Amino acid sequence: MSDHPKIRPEERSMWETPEMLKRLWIIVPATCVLFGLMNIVLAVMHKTHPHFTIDKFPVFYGVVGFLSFSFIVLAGQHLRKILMREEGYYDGEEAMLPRPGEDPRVYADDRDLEEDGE
Amino acid sequence: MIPFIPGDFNPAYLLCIAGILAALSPSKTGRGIIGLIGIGLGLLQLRSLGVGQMDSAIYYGVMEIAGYEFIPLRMDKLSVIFATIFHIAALINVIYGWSHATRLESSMGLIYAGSAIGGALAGDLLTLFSFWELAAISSVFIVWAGGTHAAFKAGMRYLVVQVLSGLTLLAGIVLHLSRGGSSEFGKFTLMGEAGVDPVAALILFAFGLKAAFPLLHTWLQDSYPKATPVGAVLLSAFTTKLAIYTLVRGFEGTGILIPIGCVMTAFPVFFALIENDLRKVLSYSLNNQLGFMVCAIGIGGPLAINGAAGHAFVHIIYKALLFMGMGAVVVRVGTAKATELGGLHKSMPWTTVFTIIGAMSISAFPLFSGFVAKSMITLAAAEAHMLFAYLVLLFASAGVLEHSGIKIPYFAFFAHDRFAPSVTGRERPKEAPRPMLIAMGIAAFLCLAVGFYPPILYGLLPYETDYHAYTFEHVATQMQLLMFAILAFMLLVKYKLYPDEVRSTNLDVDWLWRVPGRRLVEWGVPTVARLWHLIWNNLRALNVLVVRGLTMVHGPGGRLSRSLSVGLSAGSTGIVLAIVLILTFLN
Amino acid sequence: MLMDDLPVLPVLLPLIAAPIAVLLPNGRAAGAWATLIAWLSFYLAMQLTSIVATAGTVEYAMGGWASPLGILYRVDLAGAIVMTLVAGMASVTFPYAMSSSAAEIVPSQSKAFFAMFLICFSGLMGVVATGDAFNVFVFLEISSLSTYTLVALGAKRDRRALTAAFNYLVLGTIGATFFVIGLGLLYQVTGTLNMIDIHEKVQAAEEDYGRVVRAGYAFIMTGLALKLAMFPLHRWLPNAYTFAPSSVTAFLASTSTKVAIYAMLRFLFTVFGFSFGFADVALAVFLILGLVGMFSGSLIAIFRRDVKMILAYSSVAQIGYMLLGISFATVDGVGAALVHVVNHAVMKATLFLAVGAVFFSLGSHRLSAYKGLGKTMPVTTAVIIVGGLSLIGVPLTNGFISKWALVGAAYDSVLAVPSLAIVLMIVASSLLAVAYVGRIVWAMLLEDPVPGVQAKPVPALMMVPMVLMALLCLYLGVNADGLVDLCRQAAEVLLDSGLGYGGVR
Repeated sequence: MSDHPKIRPEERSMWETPEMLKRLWIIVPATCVLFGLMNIVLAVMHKTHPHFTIDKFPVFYGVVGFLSFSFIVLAGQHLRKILMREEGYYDGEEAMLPRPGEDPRVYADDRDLEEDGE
Repeated sequence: MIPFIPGDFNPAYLLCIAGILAALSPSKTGRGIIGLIGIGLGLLQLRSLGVGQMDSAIYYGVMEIAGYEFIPLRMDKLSVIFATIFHIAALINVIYGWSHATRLESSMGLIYAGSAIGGALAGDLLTLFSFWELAAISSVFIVWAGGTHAAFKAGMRYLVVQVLSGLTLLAGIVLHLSRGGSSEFGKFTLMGEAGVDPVAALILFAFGLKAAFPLLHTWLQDSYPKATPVGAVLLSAFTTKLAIYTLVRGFEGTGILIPIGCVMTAFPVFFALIENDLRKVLSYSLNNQLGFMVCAIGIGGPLAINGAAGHAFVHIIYKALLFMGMGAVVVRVGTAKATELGGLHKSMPWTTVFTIIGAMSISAFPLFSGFVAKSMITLAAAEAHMLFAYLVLLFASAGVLEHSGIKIPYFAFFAHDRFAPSVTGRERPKEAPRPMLIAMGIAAFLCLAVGFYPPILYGLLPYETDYHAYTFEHVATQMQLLMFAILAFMLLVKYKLYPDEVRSTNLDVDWLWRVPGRRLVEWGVPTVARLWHLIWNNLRALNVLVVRGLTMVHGPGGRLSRSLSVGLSAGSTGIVLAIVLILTFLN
Repeated sequence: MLMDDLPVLPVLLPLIAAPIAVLLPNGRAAGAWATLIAWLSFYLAMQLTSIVATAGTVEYAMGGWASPLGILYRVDLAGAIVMTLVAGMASVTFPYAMSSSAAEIVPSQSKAFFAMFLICFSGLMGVVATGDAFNVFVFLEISSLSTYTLVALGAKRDRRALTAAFNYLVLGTIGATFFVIGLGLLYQVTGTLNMIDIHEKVQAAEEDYGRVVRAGYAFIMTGLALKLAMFPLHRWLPNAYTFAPSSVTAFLASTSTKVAIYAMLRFLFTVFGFSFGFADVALAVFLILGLVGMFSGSLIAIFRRDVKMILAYSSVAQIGYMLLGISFATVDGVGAALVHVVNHAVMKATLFLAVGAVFFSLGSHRLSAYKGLGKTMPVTTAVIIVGGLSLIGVPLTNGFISKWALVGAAYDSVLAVPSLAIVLMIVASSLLAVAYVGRIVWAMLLEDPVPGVQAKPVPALMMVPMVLMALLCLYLGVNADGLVDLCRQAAEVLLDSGLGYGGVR
């Protein structure tokens, strides 16, 4: 995260404090374990209804979730090597110009009007 | 019954009329009120028309013209659930655009919503086609309202695809009718005894274009992010869902839809990951969600169809909610690019909360609306013992969580705070405007209401159901899937394996016609022109020769037009007589 | 009593009225008289058509003498249509002539002019109505002789009318002579002049006197081909049409060749029929010369600088279409030819009447006089455009209907030439029509008027007929079912009697 903007500590919200991050690192694995256990218990009690062979394995869904997500992120980012182009690839500078014959300020005016009312 | 409105009046017309009136109204508030009244009347009218069961629809206004039976209104549970959700989406849109919709957007938006409703309620093919085209034409104005050159060009591409879809549909309808098919829009059989039925294939192609089947999907990601904040919300609700409705009606249980749906739900996951523009991420996510529905339609059967219709219903709400959240960001910050956002939760807390509700709904967390609908689809796949489809759907569920559940809120509202006064030297962006917050609040409420009390949704579904979303097993498996995926996310971020946001354009299959295709045309047109000039010049030279020759023979004084002397004329008569005589005798 | 005489009345009425016209005090009165007679005949002819259409062919024994001894008048549906057409054209051109002849004819001759007009009219009706072969010759000559005079009367404005009339006289007489020689040969072997009678006896005679019958056939076909201006025998037509007075041109162009075509149909199908092998000769000749005529006439028309001449050559081309339809020898083909007979008469009358109006106003029918006519004479321009579009065969005009019928017939017929080739040739020659009509329209609409030329206002007596004809062009283009059905029926009747009773359909 190269161009990480440096903000002052007092500008952090409660969600950005290191304590909150620590707490998250406890909550999320704990939830994973909780629901994993729940599934195991259900399986032992024969309360599950597997439709295939592989989903008889109690934490099958956890594994699928973890692996799918990792695969998407780890494999997906390599697509950039093939597909990524500079931002104005198709339309260039023109992309952000207003359409001919149209007042570029209309939208801005709308915004101002609305803000006055607020 | 509403006083002053005929008993069998089409609610679609009420919205279209409201749209026309809105176009005439000079003030924003006036347009908003007209919209609310129109949609309110439409909902009342829809209720008073009643609902028939799937196999005993109620018909209104049936008339036969030249042997063709028009059915403007067909009320059964399937058409009514779509008409209802279209009304709700229109309502949310009117509120969301209360102070920001341009005149074009509010009027065209109402007509667009009206045509989607009309299409869902249409009982015969030609009525469907008319609304199909009306939806295409009214919505392109919304794309154009984006106001940039890029939006204009994307709008043109959008229009081409939509009109192509309409024309293909018309061709299919004509062929279908000409071989004696029924005028009522019912089920088509793609694989007949004699292989693929070309007529059904044409119609499926038309529907598929609008439903953004893989390879035909790029118009969606191309145009939606270029619309205005309000416009994108409008666009996200109607076109594709109308297509889903037509697929349910026409191609339920058509096997080919299962692989199509699987591809459709899986591939956008990767594109969404690397995309920078968060509204474009949502467009890919839209595609991925449609994949679930298409897959369910391919599986067929009451459970799957309930799943598809229910998923469409809840999807419209939470997708609109997400687009509204991003739209609010665009209104306040001017962009929805991940590279320029972050930390907005500090100054836009409500928008953050609502967007997270939308994100959790689309990720199908229990107690949110996505869960109660999507689980029907996965269960249908499992019950049909389609292991591969099932796994793809699970994979896609993890994908949804990645791009819509985490990426959208994370990059927009958390991640790197780019709006701290110490960084920008300015105040932070303000909270979203109040009408937008109200609209988001309504949508978020609906997401939670359906999530907490699924019977709201189940009562509307096409088929009777005793399905229970909240079993221990469902909750346990789904929560496992999601929490382990979140764990993966946290690990990836911790070990810096999660890809950074980067300013970029990512290529999709539309590159084929936007770059080499355009080159080909740019090269082809002058080449053909040159070739034609060459041929034309030669022809002209030839022509001069021919005309000169003809003038010599036929012109004044030419051999054939000279006024001959009487003797010569008489002589020629004699010659003709001689020839006829000879021929007669020879015969 | 009157109704019983219906087949002869439209013939005799103008014949008797002609001498009376000469006795009237002035040309105007004679014109009014002729007009009255024409209208009366038109009414009678329409009555006749409606009777024939419902009750079938009508026969009338002249003077009560039964056939084959007496002269029999025999009107079938095709004949009734042509008679109505001729009478209709007369009732339009006669009032028109009242105004136009004042400018184009020497005043002292105008009473005689209308008398000649009436005689010509009567002759043309007679050719159609009679069922007697020699009577055909007589009426043909009555109409021809009066026509020569009528053409010659154009000499007041252009002396070349005299040579044109002389040329026409010589060639017309040659044609008539061939025709009467042919008749003589047939009479020699059959001993009868009644058409039906000849038809019955000529079969038997063919075995013994085959050569005589064949020679008679060749002479009659050549003679009639000259009268109807088939391609290489058309030389008399352009000059005669160009130099005749306007009203005469309009009348002749819309009737005389059409009547000759009808006579040809009668001899081809009723008298000879298809039992002879040599009947195919005429069909082959018609096919080839019809096609050649279509192109040659149109091509010459393109290069002409005189509007009347352009239209005259266009007539040669249009006759090619009719011959083409006949040469298919199917009900559709002959029906299409009859449709075109009617439609071509209407559109050519429209055009020649309008050309006459321009001649009246500007004193010229050269293309150069038409420059900027759209501004100076808008109504006439509109009429010419309607007629021109019909000539090309643009949809919503009657020309389209006949081309359509012809193309349909060509497509369905079985011929030596591939029918698709013929269809393409019909289309191609229509394109040539675009060229010559385009030249006129171009001059009228896109070029500036010749400065200093004042157009005389066109009198109502000329304006009304030509606008009426233009409207008829459009009406027949929109509501064509009646005419097409009628012509098809007529063709069925014609072929039925000629095909050895139910031959090729």
